Amino acid sequence: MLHPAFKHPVDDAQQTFRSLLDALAQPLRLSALPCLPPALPGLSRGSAALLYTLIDRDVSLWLPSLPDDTLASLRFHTGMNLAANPAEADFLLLTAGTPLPPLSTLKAGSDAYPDRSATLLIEIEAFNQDQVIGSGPGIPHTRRFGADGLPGDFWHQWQANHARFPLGVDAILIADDRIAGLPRTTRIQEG
Amino acid sequence: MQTRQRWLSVLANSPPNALQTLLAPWRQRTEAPVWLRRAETGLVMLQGRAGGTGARFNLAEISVTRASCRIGEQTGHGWVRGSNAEHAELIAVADALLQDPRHQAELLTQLVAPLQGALDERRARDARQAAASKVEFFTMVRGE
Repeated sequence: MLHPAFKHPVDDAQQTFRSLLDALAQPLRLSALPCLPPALPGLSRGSAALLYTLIDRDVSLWLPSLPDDTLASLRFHTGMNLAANPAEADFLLLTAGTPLPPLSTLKAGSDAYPDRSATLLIEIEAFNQDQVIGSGPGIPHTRRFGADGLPGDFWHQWQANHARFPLGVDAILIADDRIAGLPRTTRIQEG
Repeated sequence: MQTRQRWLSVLANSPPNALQTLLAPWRQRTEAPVWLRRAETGLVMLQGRAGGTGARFNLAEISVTRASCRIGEQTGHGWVRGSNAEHAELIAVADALLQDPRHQAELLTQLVAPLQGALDERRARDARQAAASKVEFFTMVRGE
C-alpha cells in the first residue's frame, strides 16, 4: 500500500531544502522543518521529508531494513536507487538502533572532487546541550550540543572524520521534525 | 492484466467529459481517493520504428500528464497524452475502482463498455472518411 508524500511536492521540497541549507550553514543549531509529509512506517516525519527532498534516481541511497510499504512508497515518490552496501552510497539513512558503519569506510570524495562524498541522515531521540562543544565555520565562538540516541563512539569517529578535511562525510541529525547540521568542517571537543 | 491494459487505453482515449459523467455516480458512492500524486505534466520521448521493424529512432517529445491515487486497498494510475490534469485524475480514480473486485464487473459494463463503443464508432467513422478520400494511382505502361 502506497502512502502520500508532500502535499505540494515542488514548494514543500524547496522549503525543506532551504531549511537544510540553513542547518548546514549554522552547524549544531536546531531548526524545525517547515513542511512535514504524513509519517511512513518505520521512519520519522523529518526523515521522510528529507528523503523526499534529497533523493532522486541520480543518487544512491542506503537504507536499513524497513517495512515493504515504506520502501514501495519511497521508490514511487523518489525513484530511488538502493546501494548494496554503505561504502557505495551517496546518502545513508540510519534509523534509531541501526549500527553506525565506520565513517572511514564511507565515500569521502577525492582531492579533485571532495563533494563526491556521502551524507548521513541520522535519526536520534532528542537534542540536548551537554555532550560536546563545537566550533568552526558557521559557529561564532563555540556552541554546546548533544544528541540522545547517537551510537556510542560517534563523536570519537567524528574527530577522525574532521581531520580528513577537505575529504570526509557530512551528517544531518534528525529528531522528529527538528534537524541539526554537522558538516565535516565542524571541530568537536568532547566534554 | 490484459483487461487492465484495455480499460486504461479506453479511458485515456475517451473524451474527459463523457468519462466524468459516467463516473460521477460512482464517486459519490465510494470513499474519497487519497491522492498519492496530484496530476503533473511532463515530457515523454516518442520512439518509432520504420515499418514497425526498422531501427529505433526518436520521433518527437509529447507532453504527458499523470496522476495516482489510492481508494481503499487499490492504487490507481492515470496517464494521458496532453496536459488535461482533470482527465488524468479521473482515469486514476476509475483505475482504482476497476481493480476493486466489488465494483469491477459493474464498472466494466456501465463505464468501460459504453466508452469503448463510442471509441469504436469514432474510429470507424474516421476510417470511413479516410477511405472515401483514398486515391488510386495508376501508371501507364510505357508503350513501345
